[in-house]
Amino acid sequence: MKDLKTICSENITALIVLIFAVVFPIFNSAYKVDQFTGFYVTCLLSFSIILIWGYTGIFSFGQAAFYGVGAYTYAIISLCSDKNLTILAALAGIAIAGVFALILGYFIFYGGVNEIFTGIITLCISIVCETFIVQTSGPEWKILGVWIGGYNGLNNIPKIKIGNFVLNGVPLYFFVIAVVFLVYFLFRKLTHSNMGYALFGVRESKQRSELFGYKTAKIQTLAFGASGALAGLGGVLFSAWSGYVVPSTLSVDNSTVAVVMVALAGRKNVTGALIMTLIYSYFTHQLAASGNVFSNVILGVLLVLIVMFMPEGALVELFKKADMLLEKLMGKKKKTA
Amino acid sequence: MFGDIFAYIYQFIDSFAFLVLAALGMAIIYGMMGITNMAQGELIMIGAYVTDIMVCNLGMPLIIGIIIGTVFTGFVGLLMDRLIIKRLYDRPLDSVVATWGLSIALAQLIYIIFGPSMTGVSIPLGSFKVAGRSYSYYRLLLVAIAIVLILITFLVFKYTKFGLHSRATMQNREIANSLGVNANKMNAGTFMLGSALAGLCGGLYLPTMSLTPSYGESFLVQSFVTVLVGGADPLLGTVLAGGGLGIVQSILNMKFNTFYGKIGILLMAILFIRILPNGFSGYFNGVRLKMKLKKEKNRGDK
Amino acid sequence: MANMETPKEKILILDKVSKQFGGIQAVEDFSMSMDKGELRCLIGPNGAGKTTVFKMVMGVYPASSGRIVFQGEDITSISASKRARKGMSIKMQVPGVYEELTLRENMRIAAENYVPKKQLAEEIDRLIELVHIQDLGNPQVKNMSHGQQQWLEIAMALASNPSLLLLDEPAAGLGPEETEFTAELVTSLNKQGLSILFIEHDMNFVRKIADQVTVMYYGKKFAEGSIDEIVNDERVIQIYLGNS
Repeated sequence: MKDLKTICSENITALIVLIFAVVFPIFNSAYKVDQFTGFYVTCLLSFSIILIWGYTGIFSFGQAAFYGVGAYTYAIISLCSDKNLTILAALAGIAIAGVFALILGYFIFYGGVNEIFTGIITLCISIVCETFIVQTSGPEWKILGVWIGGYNGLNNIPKIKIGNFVLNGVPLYFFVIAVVFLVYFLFRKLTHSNMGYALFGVRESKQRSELFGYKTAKIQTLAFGASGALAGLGGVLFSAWSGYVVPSTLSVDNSTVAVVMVALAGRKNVTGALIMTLIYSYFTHQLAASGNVFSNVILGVLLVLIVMFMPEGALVELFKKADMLLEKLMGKKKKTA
Repeated sequence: MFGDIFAYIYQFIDSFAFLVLAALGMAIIYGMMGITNMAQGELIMIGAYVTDIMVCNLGMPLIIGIIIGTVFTGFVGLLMDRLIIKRLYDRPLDSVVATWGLSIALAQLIYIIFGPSMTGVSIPLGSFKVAGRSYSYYRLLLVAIAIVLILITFLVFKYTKFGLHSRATMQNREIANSLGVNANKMNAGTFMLGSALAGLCGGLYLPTMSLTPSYGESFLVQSFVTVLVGGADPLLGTVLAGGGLGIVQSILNMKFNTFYGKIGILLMAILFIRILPNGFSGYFNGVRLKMKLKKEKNRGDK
Repeated sequence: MANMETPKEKILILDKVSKQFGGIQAVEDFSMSMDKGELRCLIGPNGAGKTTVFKMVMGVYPASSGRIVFQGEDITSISASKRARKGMSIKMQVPGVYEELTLRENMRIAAENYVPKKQLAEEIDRLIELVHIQDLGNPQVKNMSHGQQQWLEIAMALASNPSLLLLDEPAAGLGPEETEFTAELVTSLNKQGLSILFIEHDMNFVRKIADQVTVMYYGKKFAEGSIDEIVNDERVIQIYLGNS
């Protein structure tokens, strides 16, 4: 990815998306604004996959699990008392998801286990987490006095409240897009920072990077923890936006959708992921396609095809082609000037 | 007292058989090709569904149904390999993603075609009692089958041409290639074999569980964890992992329930790989060869 | 006053180092020491264990037994990344470059742990010029020629300003002009004080630049001495059986 100062198709697109996001509430109903808030929240899950898979080269099925941990933590803490604990709940959600990921990462990466096995381990953990919550239907399962809710999940989760101000509707929308674009901006900075290059080195060849002085196990573990925290942030905002959380929030299906979106756009490109998540979420909503019985088949086949034929991602290819066109146009301008 | 001991032993060998049968196919594919086949659960399911159709819809005896299921799944695996996996041999991380995509597509297709449930197959051979508890003969038969399978795999690896080529490829792919082992054919054959074994597992356990589109999930965690803990040697690893994890799983199954059995072996695996990242087989192979080297040194010094 | 020679500082000492892989003894009781500022070559027929020794020195493989001492410190159980930070660098036999990344991205990854961010671009430029690949622009490394990749890797290895540089077959696959340039590069680096240990099969190259030579055969040290001694050693000539 080029840096933020270059004029290129990616940066232009990002700017357009930013403008689109900011003016959206002016031209759309409250319902639509609320709907899109949810789409932007999902972007955080996609970003966490870019961080761990695209940047660090570790494939994790567990991102939805961390997303779910964030969502459930926020729900439980904000529900457990009559006082307004929502801000604490939000921070706790991020922290617990992050710590969970760090600990898991420690066991995986300091042992030096094959990155591929991370896929297996995170898949098993996701399955176990989801099954655990579904099976714990009985009211004897309480954390902080709040029943986990089993199959039905938790309802009436309070919105984030700062003082007397409740984050709902349009203010919540702007809060969420502020968070999303802040994270986006940090990602762009990361790509050109020492930390970013450390991740790329570990991704491209763990062994070789060791010989350039990188402590690869530490880097992998920290990246995994950060991506867990990021997914947790997404989960927190999901709870705070939707007001409910169900076991399927941390299901493997949820992870899969996000993985497909990221793979389709380009796993190493955060602008692509942002756009693809919005587009994909919008269309599946329009077509009520997520309830469609064929959706998983299409997703699965798509994933196979992308991995086989377009591993760099479709949007990334588009950006490249657009850049070539742009260069031609700018070249022409220089000649006529 | 005897009743309790018998119960534990029965549970252990039952778990051992389950883990071995669920994992062997995947372990062979991983050991030979370095490919982590995320569609293992779906292959197991295909075996079960084919067996079920043969038995319930076409009235065949269970054995025939299972054999047909196994062969059919083998061919599905061959198709998978030739169409998809072939292009990803040098991209192991991408093959994880691709086989995952396949698995969710397959699972959904099975649901679409066959609906939420299928007629079950009743468990044959009846039961026997020990100290007041009932036990199934069929599940004991599965233990016997697992052991026979291990023996057959051992013999194939040690004494057949395919086995020799397999071991050579596992040790060093490039050298095996230059010695005339056709890696392409090996891969297709291996994937087919591994898939067939998965289908066999599905068919064998059909009488013990209800057949729904989440049938494969019942095996998923166990087969993955066994391969993880077993390491790269498909035979030694699967047997040792089946034994070690079998102990943990059987105790937890008995004390609590099968869900805690799953969590238990998963946690064990995560702790285990921290210490022995190459699994049981990596560790034992190292120990065995070190001892061999010592012997040779001693002989040389004499 | 008694004639006391100050012992020359040893940059690297290998003390009875061995390596087993499963059933194979790749290296057995190998001992060698290098003075600071030395330019030493490790030669021997294929399979003699030279690359294995390199990998043990760098820490890619742990030694099965024996000690490795670097700049007076026992590094036998220290991780590879720590050894790199202590001033050891390696150019691998099969180019250890990041093929999917660009030239400058490769350099950045090699250099950023050692060069402050402000001087990074300048230092990368300097190193690229040093190995003569400054006219390539910034291609994807997999599109660079084998020789260019070798030079890139040398530049990457130098980014840490190492005290010991390990070069595994720096002249492999290079044409005569490229080999000439590499020889000059290695010599000039050594003249500036960099201790260099390299593996080579090209005996012309070795003859041109090495001070000291260690010969390996079947995992053991076979002979050792100055380049002239080794080149004229009957037994060494025999084990090569016809190599120049």
